[in-house]
Amino acid sequence: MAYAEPAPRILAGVREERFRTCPVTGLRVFAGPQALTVANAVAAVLALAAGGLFGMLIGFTRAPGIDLLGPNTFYASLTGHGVSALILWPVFFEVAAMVFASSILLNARLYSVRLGWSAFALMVAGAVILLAIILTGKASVAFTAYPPLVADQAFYLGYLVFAVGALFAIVNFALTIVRARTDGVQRGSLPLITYGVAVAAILALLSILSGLIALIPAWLYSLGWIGSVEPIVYRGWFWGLGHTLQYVNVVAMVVAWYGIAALTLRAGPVNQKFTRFAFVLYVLFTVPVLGHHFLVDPSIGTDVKIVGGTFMGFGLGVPSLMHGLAVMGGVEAELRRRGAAGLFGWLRRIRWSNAGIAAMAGSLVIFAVGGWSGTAETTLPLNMISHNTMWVPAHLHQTVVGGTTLAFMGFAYLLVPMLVRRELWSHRLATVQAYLYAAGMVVMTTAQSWAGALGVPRRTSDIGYGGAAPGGWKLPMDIAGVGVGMASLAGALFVLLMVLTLLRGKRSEDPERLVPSAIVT
Amino acid sequence: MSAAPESPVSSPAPGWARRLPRDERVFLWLVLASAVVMCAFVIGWLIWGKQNVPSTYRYVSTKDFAAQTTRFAERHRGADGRVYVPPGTEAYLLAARFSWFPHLVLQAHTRYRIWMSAADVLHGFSLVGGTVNYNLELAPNHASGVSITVGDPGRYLIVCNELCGLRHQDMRGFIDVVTPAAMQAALARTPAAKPAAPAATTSPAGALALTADPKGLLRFDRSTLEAKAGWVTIAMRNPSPVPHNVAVRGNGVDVKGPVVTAGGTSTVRARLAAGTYVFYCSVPGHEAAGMKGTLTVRS
Repeated sequence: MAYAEPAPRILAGVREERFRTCPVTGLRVFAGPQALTVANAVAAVLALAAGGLFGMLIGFTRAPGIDLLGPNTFYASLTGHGVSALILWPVFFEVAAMVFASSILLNARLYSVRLGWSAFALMVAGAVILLAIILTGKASVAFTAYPPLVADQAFYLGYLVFAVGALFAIVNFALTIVRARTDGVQRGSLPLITYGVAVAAILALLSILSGLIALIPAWLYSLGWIGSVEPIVYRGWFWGLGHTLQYVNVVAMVVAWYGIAALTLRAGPVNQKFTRFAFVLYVLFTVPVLGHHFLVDPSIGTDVKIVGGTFMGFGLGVPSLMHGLAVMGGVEAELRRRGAAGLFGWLRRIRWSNAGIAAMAGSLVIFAVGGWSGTAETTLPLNMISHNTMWVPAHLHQTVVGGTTLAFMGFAYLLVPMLVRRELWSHRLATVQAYLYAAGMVVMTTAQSWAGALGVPRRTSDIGYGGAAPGGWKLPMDIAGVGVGMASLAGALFVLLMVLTLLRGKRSEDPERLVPSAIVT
Repeated sequence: MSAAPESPVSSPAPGWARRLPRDERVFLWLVLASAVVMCAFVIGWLIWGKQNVPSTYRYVSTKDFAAQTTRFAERHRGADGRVYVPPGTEAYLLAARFSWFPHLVLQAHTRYRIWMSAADVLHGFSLVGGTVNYNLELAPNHASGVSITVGDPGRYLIVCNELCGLRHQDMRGFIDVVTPAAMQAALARTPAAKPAAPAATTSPAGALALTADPKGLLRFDRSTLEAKAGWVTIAMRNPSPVPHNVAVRGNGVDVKGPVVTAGGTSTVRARLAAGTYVFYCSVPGHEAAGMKGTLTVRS
């Protein structure tokens, strides 16, 4: 009996969708996923702009020399800052990364373009509800919204709608990879970047499920349908969302590092097994590490605090150290292969004026400091002197802003020109932007750590306490305000550069113009 | 010249899962060793460290904790309104929007157990200033038993460092530390075996009655009161765990009743001429949050 091999389904349906071939990577880019990636990336940049604007307002309020806002607008802006910068910006960006890594990188079609757009619509709707209710001042409870403190019910509803949208996006991502395999488009192991994004997606799934468990009762409580929410239990589930989501950011940041190193320096990971093992460690350690939020909480035993907070926190440092080695080691190995000599000769082979390199260098250094400050405060005795002081925002801005946001900015300087086939409006300005942003973050977070060691509380509109506050509190907070000014300027420059590139960037198909090499030859 | 590196954007070559090279293995062992050393330091601190996170907790309703705090405060309140805690006595501290209750006075270089909890929402106990920086999370229905050895005499600032509402920045309190001699002098002035003053639950005859929100929201049950000129008494019953008082202000008058909680009644009495006055709760932030009303006095 004759045996006929059926044609792969991907070829059978290929005429249904338009695609182009990327001039830089040679990958096949379908119109659907490209539009979806760009839409999510644009939403991410808008969320970042909102988060940055709120951040500037609260940063200038925290500096006693400026004291910009009164308490009501301060707490509304504080909530807006947390929601836009810690939830909306990273999740939109990661959905963009998920679409990109599952379809464009794998040369595959999206499982469902319609599902992708439904997810995007829900996320946008949730974001709009959240920001609208925050701007009315009815949800000034910070993005953590610890009950019994209660916000307007629309605030929780916005969170829930956004979370469901993100869940749809994760499902679409997983099914796209499954389909790429069953269609025979993707054989063998996944590329490292797709693998990393898949790890981020798993963490995002866990964090969103935990968030639903926290936020649904809080929503019912805000509606008056249930009488109370146990605050310590809420804190547990909330940080299952809040802190896990930050590791989604970290994983995405690491992916951005590999992406930047590959695109600008043609460097790969030193060892595939080493880097993939590190990604798996993130999955293992990330969820239990929420225990560090309980270190000075009542009713939780020291054993739980030590294991869940401190030991898991130390464990979580391991994969970040491994990736730091793998990224820098990969760069070093590639540059040595191209003839760099001596112990540090490879550093001179890097073109430091490259915008991607500027952002990655700043991100690596500031994230390392943030990892150290987080490890310090995850120990029980040090947490007693840092809990809810300015040390905490210093840590999370070192990791999420100096680390993640800066890496995403650098990756955007490479990805956006590739996707829209327009050169960066000004590559030199992009480099200046990255260094200025990094410098602003260093100034701000160093001053905040100093203030935290003195006991300055976080999340408060005024630290005067009727003249009773220690005199040493003002100076570091004013210096932090200077850093806020630098970072705000650089943040505005980033948004401006993105807009100008999208609208006015020079059209090009030349790989070296779209993604300039950072190798000194 | 070694082989070209693998690309992170394409599938790795088969066989990538073989044993790690020596450099990576050495690095991993070093990282692991440093983690073990750090874990050992953390456990060592638990055993030999001077200051550790409290590990004594109670689950107690906000209402009961507020009542215990009130009884404690009544028993040890000095002539100046501050609460002098004799060495060996367990102290109580209640965090509520936007105050710390009561104002504790402790003896220098003495070990105390202080029970702390929150009356309404989450609060952060943050003892700051000088070389002191000590922070704890406080939650309603959970009480933490903190054992601390008090330092040198002086006034120490307590702030709240967990966002608790729109007047969060007003939430401050003090712990005063005095010499043993000053403590003994103050305790001698305080009637030694003063029975716990039962919180007045009945209002004086002829008083204007007022009640604080029983759930601890920052409002009274009414926003207007009326009285005839002359001696006017307002009796405010507070069934909530959040400390409140009643005060009257206007036309040169400024009088405040005692701060009470958990079923106590705060009474204020003043001779008022005809006119319009404000009655309010003078606990920080409460008036700003809407805990006030208009008292109209007619001739």
